[in-house]
Amino acid sequence: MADIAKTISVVNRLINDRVIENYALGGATAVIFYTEPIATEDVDIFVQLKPGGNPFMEFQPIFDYLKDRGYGMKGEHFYVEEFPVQFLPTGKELLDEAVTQANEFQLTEEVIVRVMTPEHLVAVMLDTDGSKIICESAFFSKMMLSTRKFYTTS
Amino acid sequence: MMKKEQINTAEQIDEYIKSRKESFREHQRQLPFSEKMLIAFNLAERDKTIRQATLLPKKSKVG
Repeated sequence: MADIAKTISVVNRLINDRVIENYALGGATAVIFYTEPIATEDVDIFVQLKPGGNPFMEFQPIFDYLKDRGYGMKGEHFYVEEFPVQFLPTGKELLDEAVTQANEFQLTEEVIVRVMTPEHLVAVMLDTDGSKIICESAFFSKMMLSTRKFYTTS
Repeated sequence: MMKKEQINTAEQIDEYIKSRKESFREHQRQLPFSEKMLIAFNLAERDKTIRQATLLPKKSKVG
């Protein structure tokens, strides 16, 4: 049976082997981490890339690394330990901050996973019109309301 | 009198369904991340199948 911990373990190795600077789970995958399962077709991973790479082929080092280790691509996804993974650039300041300040959790004895904080997830979703995901999750609907309340009263 | 009892019963059933739904969601929230992800992919697969089934033209019964 597919195990997401194995996928995350491979992503952690991308940092250890200096292919990327940092990463954090985002999008629906991160929402699922904090709440209940909602439909998703891939594992969204936001990555901070090493500076100085070719700006037109910024993901090439990740692709090369994974291909060398036998992981194949289908469409826009890499299949890492059976899970379709989509690597996404941070680009914006908000996403950069979300990756840098991500929460770390012990997934298994050996595997640590970095997940965007709920606050950053809400901010990123509002920024990218992810209202669909927010509406599907009671937790995030409540969080959005409390965030709005916080900003209107402060 | 009869109508009031029916309303009360309907409200009770409604409350029961709501509480069952909430306890189901709470149970799902407590699952390990790996299990939650597998459910999430199955939900996406289910949605895809429904989309395909409803968008595809029905086969003609003639011939």
